[in-house]
Amino acid sequence: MVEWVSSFTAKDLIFLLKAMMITLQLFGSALGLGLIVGFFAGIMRTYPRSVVVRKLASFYIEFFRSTPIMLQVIVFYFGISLFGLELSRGVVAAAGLSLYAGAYLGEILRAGIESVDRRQWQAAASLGMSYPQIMRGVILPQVVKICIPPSINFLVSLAKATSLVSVLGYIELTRAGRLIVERTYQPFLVWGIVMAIYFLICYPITIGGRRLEMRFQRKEVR
Amino acid sequence: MAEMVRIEKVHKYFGKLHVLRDVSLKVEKSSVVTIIGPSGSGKSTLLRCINYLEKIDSGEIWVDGKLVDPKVSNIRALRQEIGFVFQSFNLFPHLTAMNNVALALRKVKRLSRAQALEMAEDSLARVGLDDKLDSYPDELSGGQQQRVAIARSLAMTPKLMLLDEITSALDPELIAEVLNVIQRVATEGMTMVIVTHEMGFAKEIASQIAFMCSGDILEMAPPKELLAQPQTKECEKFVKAVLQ
Amino acid sequence: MGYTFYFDVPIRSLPFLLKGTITTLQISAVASSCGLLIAIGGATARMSKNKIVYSLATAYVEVIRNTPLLVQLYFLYFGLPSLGLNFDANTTAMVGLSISAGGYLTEIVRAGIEAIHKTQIEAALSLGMSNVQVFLFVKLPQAIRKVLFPIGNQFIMTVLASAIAAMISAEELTHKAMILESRTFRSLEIFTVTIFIYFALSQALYALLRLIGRLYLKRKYEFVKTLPPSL
Repeated sequence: MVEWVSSFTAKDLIFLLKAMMITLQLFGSALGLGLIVGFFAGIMRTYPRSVVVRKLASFYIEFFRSTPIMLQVIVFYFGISLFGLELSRGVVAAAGLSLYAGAYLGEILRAGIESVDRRQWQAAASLGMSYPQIMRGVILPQVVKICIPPSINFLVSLAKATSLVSVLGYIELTRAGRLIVERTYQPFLVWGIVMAIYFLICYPITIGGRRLEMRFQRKEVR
Repeated sequence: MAEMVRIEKVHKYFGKLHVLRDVSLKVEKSSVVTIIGPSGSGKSTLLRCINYLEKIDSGEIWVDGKLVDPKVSNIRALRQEIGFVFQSFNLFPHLTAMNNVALALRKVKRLSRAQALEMAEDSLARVGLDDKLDSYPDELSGGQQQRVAIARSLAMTPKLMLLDEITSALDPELIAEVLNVIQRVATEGMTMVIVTHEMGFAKEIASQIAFMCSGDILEMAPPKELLAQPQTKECEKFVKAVLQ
Repeated sequence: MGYTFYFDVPIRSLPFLLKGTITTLQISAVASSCGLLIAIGGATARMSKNKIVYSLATAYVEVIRNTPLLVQLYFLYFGLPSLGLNFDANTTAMVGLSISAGGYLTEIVRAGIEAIHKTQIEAALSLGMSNVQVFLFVKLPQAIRKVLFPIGNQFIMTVLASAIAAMISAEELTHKAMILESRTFRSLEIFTVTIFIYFALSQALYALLRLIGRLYLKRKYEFVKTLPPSL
């Protein structure tokens, strides 16, 4: 019987690093798409003129925040094939994750918009400004600053969520790790390295987010 | 000893900061001493040393003949004789006014539930809040909260009351109700040491006013004297500025 | 779109999926309880003045929060047998989820304790209460009130995160769904029904949490869902 176990070599390390690049790409695409989706979700969630629009957005946000991300990605993957679209797994993965990101970022945006004092709306409206004008000129500029710290916190969750697309067989860092472990039987070494790589991606973001929050609070106290 | 409180040559440091410099003070029984002075002069710290919330580095503090030192006296027993009212966050937010007062009666004085509740009711009635027994602190105004805090301390039948700037965090219109209660307690013969910014009140209620500056008591005299004829430069400056 | 939906498959297999749901809840309950125990120790360590204890606890929390749960589970699933610990998949999932929950709960518990204002403790001591009495009657009640909702929220997050344990063959809901899929190939319908089961579950749990909050706190509080999630 031939033992198909080989040792962990530099080649494997390079494979992991390449997979890390895929993870980062995935993260970037999901984030980009998620920001767009989230923006619309947040705006719709706070749209004052239509209860239907608000409830639709509300359901979307609720749903994607109350269900497992892994299943969201799986359902999206199988759902997409319904439309006969020949999309690469990477695109499907990014799109699936962007629905997750859009829900959370949309909620962050909603909280930001609702935190603006009512009186600013009233002041702008009495100047004769329309809803889009008020949003663009008064509300959103303020809201952007408010939304940045919680968004940074969310980035870490998104980075970790990329690991879940491995269930689709898509080769990113986690899947790569699994392939190598199954071949080399060195779980602690391989998973240790994988965890370290994720840590090196996420921890700086975590720290950056905290520093921003502190700077934010200091500005508020004046 | 006719003194309730005797502070002798007390020094205290916070790290390198010499917060209390050779402070000595006597408080006669049934008298009211108010401590005034600029911020950072050590007034609150001195008060907190009396019931051992802060530890002194040298010197002695005696309360009713007992030394405030865990090696010599039972601090917990001593604290039952001393009522302390704080500037803010006084009351336990998870308990009603009644239970705030009754808690220590039950757990420290080990009264029965019925006894504790009865005493609590009495105490709250004394401060004019017998209609707020079941209210939670966040349902009460600042002045009402402080009155509950005073009731809580009074219910323990202390021999000495220490009040640390109890009206400083209140809106102006709520200060009077608290001061009225304190006035009444004082006339009933309670020994009190009060740290306050309320000069008018200090003048009225105090047997003696002590002026503290930079960790030392520079002057102590009956109100009329101290305010009319301050002996030290710093005191003069302070009195002039405050009585504008 | 030439596809006919056959929802009869997952609907007929609901009892099968329900068994998985029960396992999901069991795993989550055990994981949350153990996580809470870990968290009490962790929170104490995070408030300790001892540098070593503090650093170890901080490292634990940061590693858990900055690495994906799936990788943590793989780490245990592939690694523990090589140490001679051959747990079944469900147990491994419980261990992994406990450690993960513990990391998040540590910060929740610590925040609850540190939020108690110093004056509260001083007021209690000034009344002559002993340290034990201060802890039992002032610190603990306030801490519980502050952490009740966050801990409940974390439990629901654990229920959702347990789906990941399907990847290490834990017999919870998602895994059952995967088995069903491999037998009937009705992937879309099965996973859609499954995801809605999770949705219903989390909504029900949130309603329960709000109810508990209202009863225990005896006041009407507006519960806002908190970010971030755990993964």
